[in-house]
Amino acid sequence: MIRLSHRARDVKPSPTLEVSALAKQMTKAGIEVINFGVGEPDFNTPEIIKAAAKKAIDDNFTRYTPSAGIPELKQAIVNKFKRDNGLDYKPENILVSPGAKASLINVLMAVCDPRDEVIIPSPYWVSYTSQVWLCDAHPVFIETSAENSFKITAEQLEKTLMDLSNPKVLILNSPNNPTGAVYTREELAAIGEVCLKNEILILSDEIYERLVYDGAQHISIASLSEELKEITIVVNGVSKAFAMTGWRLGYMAGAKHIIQKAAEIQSHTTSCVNSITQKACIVALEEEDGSVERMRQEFSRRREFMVEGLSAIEGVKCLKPEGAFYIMADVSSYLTENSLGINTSQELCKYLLQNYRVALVAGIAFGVEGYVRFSYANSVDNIRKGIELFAAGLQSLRQ
Amino acid sequence: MLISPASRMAGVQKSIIRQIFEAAQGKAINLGLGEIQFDTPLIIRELAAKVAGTENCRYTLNAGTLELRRQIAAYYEQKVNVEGICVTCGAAEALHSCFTSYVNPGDEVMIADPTFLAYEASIRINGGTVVRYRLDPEHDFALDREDFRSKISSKTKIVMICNPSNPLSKCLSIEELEFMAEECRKHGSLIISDEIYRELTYIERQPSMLDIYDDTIIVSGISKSHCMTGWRIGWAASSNADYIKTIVVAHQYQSTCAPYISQRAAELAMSEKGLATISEIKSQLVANRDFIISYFQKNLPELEYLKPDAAPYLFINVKGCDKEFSRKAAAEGVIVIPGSAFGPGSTGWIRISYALNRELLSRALTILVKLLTQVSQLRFEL
Repeated sequence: MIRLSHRARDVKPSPTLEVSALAKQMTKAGIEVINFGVGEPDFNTPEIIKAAAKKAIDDNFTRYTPSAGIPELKQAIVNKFKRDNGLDYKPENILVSPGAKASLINVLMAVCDPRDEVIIPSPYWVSYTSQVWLCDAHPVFIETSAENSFKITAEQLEKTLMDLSNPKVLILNSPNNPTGAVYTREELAAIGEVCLKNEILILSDEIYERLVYDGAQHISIASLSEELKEITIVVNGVSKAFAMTGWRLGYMAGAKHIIQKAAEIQSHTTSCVNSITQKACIVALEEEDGSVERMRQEFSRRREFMVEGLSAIEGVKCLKPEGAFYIMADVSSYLTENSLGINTSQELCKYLLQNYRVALVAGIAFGVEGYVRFSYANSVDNIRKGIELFAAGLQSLRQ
Repeated sequence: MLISPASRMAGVQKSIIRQIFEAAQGKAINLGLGEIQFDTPLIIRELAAKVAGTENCRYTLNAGTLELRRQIAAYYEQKVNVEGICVTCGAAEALHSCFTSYVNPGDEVMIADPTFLAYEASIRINGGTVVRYRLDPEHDFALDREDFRSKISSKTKIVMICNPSNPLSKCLSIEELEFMAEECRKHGSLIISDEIYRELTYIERQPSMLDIYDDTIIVSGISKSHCMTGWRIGWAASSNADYIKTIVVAHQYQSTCAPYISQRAAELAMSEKGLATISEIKSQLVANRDFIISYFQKNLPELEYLKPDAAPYLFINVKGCDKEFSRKAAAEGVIVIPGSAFGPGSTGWIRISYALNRELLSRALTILVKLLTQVSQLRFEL
């Protein structure tokens, strides 16, 4: 057996895999599992988008495209940034990739040298750290907590930077997975100022942009000033907003010299994005049929329902998230003292799945102990049933 | 303020083929593309349209749908199992994931001179050092065994093989494959065998490297065999499933999974019914090959070219400056790729593809013959 590269040895498959593999096994064996682990909307892709895909297939639009994306789609993305974020880009500032994850790694590859440091607020989306390792760079975490609504502050960032030798990138994710936190304009401005002073590239992952609630407003940090726009790469995609996870399309915008390097990398790593998907996405971005708003409202309804259900369980605490479709529930009070010796979020998730048929993701997967993550990309019926089972599971620990 | 790019980007450029592709918008006839410019078979398009309209296009397993991996395993006659396959966004991603998984900065990766140009860039992006082994232009680009032996060492992490070869459209012989396998065995090197053109061979189909060497990862896909470049389906496969485990992880953090609709279409493409569509594509390619060769024989009998074992390229000796020739051809409205793009060993040659419709091909040939004649006259006068 030929040895792996050091980066491949460092990178582990997602820690959520054990539980999700078990959940799959159970489902296959005919056991009904209520799955709160899902990271994708449970809706169908809107009809007008599907129709555009069918047309592309019928028109034989099935060949290689320019690696950075077809011109009409890049223009649609330019229009989207102008319309939704007040950002002025040219097509040369845009790179279309097979998923927002691919956008992220293309940028990291393009800017990170070995041992460069990438700052990641914690809890964080599982893939960031692995992607940083794969680029031979080092992740550095800034802890957040429920007390500060799971958001980093400019002071924290400044303090962290003082200890670093090669800081290069800050990954900012608002609305946030897994906490649902949404940064305000003022918070972003303060963070942006620190990044400008320290010449840090901001990688702003805005994939959950369309899913904000209770009047919360999504602000792109790039839109705050020309200077910030220059040092920010805005990453977005169609997966979450349009229920298009399986189509694989992400996009980003930023300074031309970085986007070009990322495009060069992409021309060698995945060549181009699926041609049919690109055509479908023009319609997704340009034609509004109201389905995104309908999905958002449904998510909002489920969120209310879930927050209410979870808050009613003794010893469980959660914030009402302002965005995305996840809730981080604090279950630490159950992990300290229980008869079964369950002390970690990972053990708890395994126990709840095996005995109460509820699939959750352990907080430790996002870098924080004492929490479990619920996704409310599930029906209200399932949410009701699932929370009952979850509550019963927790109760059983105290008996 | 300018955030600086990573040093791994030094010397990495957008691939020349891509540059030409993007420059070729407009009227130029493109013989430069590594793409069979025919339609995707109708049954595959019909299924895909149905899937797009009726199915829920969600994430699939990172490694690809089980059904697709079953079909691929069957294609390799069960020499790989479903655990030994990772479906990716095109063979390009499979290749990149292999390098990410196995190349440490400073490791040597051997690639042929000449060979497909994306290898070098992807190896460099992953910090590897490229060492080229020579294919001998004086002997129809056969493997130069002495040279190979002198280049391989304990530092050689990977030997990259492209078989049938892009740009040569030539197959390595079983003896050549066995020789390389033996050398790799001695030095503990992994072989990555890019077999994307395997289904388009004119001669008797060669064994896959899987049959010859255990420490092999196959990179392949349906882009060429089924005219499905835009769909982005490729894979990495190995009879040793452990080699694929890490590639699945690298792929997971690169692109999550290949597109759902494309995977469903690929399930059909790799089934018996889908594989049968290749013969129609091949017969069109054979007809084009015969057309182009008889055209050259008639109009330019002294032209030297490599007899193709596979589609879709003809490798032509222009006996001079291949870059200059390519630039001239582009100015005259035909895109060809200079041989030096594939390595210094094929300087003086050009690669043309004949996988496009007959009328365009015919127009391009008129221009090329005119240019080639000029070039040979010019030399004569000199």
